[in-house]
Amino acid sequence: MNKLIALFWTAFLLWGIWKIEHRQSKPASSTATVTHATSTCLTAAQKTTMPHLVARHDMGVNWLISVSDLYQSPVSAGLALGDFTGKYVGCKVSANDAMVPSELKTRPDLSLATGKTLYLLPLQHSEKDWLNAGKHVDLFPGPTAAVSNAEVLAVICDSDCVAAVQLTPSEIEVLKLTNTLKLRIIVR
Amino acid sequence: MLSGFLDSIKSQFGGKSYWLAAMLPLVLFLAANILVLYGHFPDLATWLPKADGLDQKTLLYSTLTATLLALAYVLSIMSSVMLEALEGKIGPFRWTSSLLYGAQAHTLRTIDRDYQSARALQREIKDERTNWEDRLDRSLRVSETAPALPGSYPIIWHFTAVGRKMAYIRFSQRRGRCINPEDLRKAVNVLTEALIRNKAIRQSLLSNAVDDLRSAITYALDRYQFEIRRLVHLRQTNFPGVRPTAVNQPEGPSANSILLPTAMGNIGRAMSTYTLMRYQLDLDIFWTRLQNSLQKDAKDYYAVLQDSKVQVDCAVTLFWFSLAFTLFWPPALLWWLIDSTVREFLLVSVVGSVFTVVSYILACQGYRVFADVMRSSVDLFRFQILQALHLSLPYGSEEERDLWLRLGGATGFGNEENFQYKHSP
Repeated sequence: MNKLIALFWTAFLLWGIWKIEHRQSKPASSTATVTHATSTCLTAAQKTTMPHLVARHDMGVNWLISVSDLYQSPVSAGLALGDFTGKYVGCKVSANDAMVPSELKTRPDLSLATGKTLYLLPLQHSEKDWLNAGKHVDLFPGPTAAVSNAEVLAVICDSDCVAAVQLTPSEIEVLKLTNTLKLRIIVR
Repeated sequence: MLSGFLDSIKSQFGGKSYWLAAMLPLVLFLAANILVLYGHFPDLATWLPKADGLDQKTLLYSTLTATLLALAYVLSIMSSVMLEALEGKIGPFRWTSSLLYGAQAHTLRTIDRDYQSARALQREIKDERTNWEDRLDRSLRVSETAPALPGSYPIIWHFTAVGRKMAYIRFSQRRGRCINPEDLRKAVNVLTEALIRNKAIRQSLLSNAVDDLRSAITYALDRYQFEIRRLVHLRQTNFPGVRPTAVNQPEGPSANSILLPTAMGNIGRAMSTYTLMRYQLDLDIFWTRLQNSLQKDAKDYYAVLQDSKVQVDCAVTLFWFSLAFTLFWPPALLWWLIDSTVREFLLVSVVGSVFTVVSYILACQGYRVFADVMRSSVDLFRFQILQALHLSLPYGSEEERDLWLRLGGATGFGNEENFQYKHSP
């Protein structure tokens, strides 16, 4: 009996590990789509030979660039910060890597993971300053989170800004019951 | 029944049993749960400091403390229920008892068979011992006229039949294992053959082998005696009743050997059958009466009993909490907290299950100790019950068994019995 229980428990653990790994590989597959779309990205060495600005920190695909994200280098060759701000990162860059205009996009590429739906979350004035693509957030309509660990795909600004987050249909149903203007967003 | 009455051993609210058997497991359980939750809800850490002002904080902390104290008290009340559930008398182990009885019955049968086998093998060695020693003596005498061992013998000794057999017997003796009479017989055979063909000089391989084999024969007898005692003790402390082949079972054809589905249950039942078998004293009837005598006349001993009970209760509560933790969190990490990682899932599952198994082993061990203290208390203080009831002490052990049987019948079942009371002068 003890052996049977131990066998069952081991089988459950192995299945659990497989399930978690499978669950975690789903978002990875969407990243693969993005990588495929940006397979024409230049290498860091190639970019340094071209006129470029330098990234202050890591930025993923669909990052909405602001003035504080970049600085000018000796080989900026007439490039201004204004040429980059308000545009989206097309190829992932690391801190102190070169960034060239050819890798910028005017609209973000939104690839959703399987089973997820796009949800546009209105942002308050200050929220757009610290929220950007690739961040994971918890959404609090009250004292407890209605949505946990939602991935921000991009921040899109016209007159107002919205965050494009990918959620499950059930999470969207929960958010429909709340006043989204009063939602508190906590970055993980 | 008895495990329910055992609850009366505990001291009340605020005592050692309350803090160690209820509060400690509760705090550990809550801490473990908060630790798992914290990884997914970091705002838990800011929950308490959120209370504004001293009054609010005082109220909040007071409420939390009061809730914790009340929960621990409820838990301490439930300790006998948790013990009975772990014994398999009620609850989940009772519901699944049809799956569990097999393992207990198998263990018991194995002990009984091993006991029978050890007795038989010891008898076999006893019967053949003189013959083996005679053969060795005779072979040694014959060996004096045999040719000396060849010079290469020490090198090939380990590859010969006698060398290999003696190495095995020496190894078994060194490791404290039982030596089968068949192995001893074979060793005697091959050694006598070697002695007839070769001269055994003092301190040579052959003479050392003869000495070691004689020692191994004595050792094998002692080892089986030890094994027999070990198995009897194992059976008495872990299972109710007596071995099926015991002659003149003192309790007669009774329900003493009925098993419970768990090891804990059988340890508990062994406690009752011990006193029934030896004295016909039914602990279900007499325990609370004995407890009264212990509390009055043997305070130190009673404290030891209380301490053992606290250890059992603590381990039992820890077992149920660990089981609840282990059954709840791994599925919750799979289906509820979907941001969980493999490492977290494995950590919770493995730590939870290891803790559950360890708690169960500790509970069984603690219960064995407690049961032994209980048995000793009956051995030492049972006559105090008779004194408290103003009854004369029995003349001998036969009379004592008869007295407890009649007294139990009169007290527990309302049988018509006639006792003569002893009046103080």
